[in-house]
Amino acid sequence: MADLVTNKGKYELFTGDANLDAADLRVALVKTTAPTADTNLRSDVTELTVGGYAPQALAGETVTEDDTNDFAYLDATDPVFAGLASGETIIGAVLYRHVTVASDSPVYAFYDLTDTPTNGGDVTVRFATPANGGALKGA
Amino acid sequence: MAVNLHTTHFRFGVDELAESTHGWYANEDTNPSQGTIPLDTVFLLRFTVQETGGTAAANTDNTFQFQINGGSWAALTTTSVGPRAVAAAAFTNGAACTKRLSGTGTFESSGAGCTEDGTSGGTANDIAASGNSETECGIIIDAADVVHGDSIAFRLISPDFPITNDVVPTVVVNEPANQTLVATAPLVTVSAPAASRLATLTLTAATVLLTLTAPLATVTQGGALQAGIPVVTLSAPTATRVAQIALAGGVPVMTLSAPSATRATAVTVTATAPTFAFAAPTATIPSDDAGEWWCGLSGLSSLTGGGSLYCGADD
Repeated sequence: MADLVTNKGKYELFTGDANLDAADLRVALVKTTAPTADTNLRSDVTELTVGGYAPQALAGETVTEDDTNDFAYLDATDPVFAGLASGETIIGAVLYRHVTVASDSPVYAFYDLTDTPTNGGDVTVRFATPANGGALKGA
Repeated sequence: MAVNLHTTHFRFGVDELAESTHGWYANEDTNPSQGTIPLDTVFLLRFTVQETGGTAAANTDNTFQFQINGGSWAALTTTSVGPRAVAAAAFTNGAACTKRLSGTGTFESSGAGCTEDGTSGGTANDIAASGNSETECGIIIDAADVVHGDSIAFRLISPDFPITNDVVPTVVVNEPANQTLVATAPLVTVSAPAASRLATLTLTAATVLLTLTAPLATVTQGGALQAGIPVVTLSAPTATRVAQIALAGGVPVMTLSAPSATRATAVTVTATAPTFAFAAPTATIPSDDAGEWWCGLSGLSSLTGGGSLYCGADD
């Protein structure tokens, strides 16, 4: 597995549907099967089902042009998944644009995370620093 | 037979409503599963104190104690570390307990069994021979004082009579460690294809505009730019014209513009070519293959640009 941007994500960046700093972007935690570049919708992703789990809406989304390092990036507050009950293993997370339901919400990117069993505590997904591209980097 | 007191039943209660109506976290004589009672939240613990010796136990004081992970028993007070006695919403300190647990014989209904400091009963608590009373304490477990998995047991003692604890209710702390998962930024790469002209290029009259723009914009072999071509532009990070280029009459503008814009060998600019511009940090016409500078300028109306233009005798 590796981090990836889906083809759907690339497409919506070109069409403008992504509109990253204005869209209702959310992060979902993934178990068992990583998505591929061909993954289109949140409903195609195998999400956690343990008690306490729900996708988290991103807050503080900003899109920045870095002329010094010649790239642009999306940054946001690190999402926190509070009180995830024991019983499943997190393998990664997906960034998606929430529309109305899982079956109409396009997936933009996959974060390959260290496999981590839930234990009843909080889980925070820490995005990269702005200098390293934040939540999503375009170059 | 002498007074013989036993704790025979217990139940963990929710601190809500009133002493006689509040709810429960688990069934009687059942410990709640781990995590059922949140940390830093007031809960209630009630015991049945049963007299089995057939002798009344007058003026009986009750003292709650606790034990963490099988360690020493300590008094549950308002300042104890780990669990501590606290004010409860369901009752006031010193109030009598109604009968809510199992027990046999006469129930002591005025025993001042409710406690917010870990001690109850006293002169009001007269347990009849073979009868029983109840006591209930408001308790909180401070998260800062415990760790995940700690097992906290409770019991009663009395300074007046021995109490045998047939039941020892226990709470297992649920305080899992939080986890941080580090993500790297997925990369979206946007790139343009190279634009190049690899062989001979002949631009004839009526070609209005020729533009090669891309990360690599090149014309690698000779080309003749003839009259009637208003604009020729090579613009890109690397824009090169490697071999000979001739600007004939009627080519108003020839521009090499880019961070590196080069015309590797000879350039001939003939009459009626109004402008030949070098507009780039590096826009040059280097020497020909014999190492000598050569260019022919005739009838040129202007020569502009920030680059260097060298002219010398042909070999």
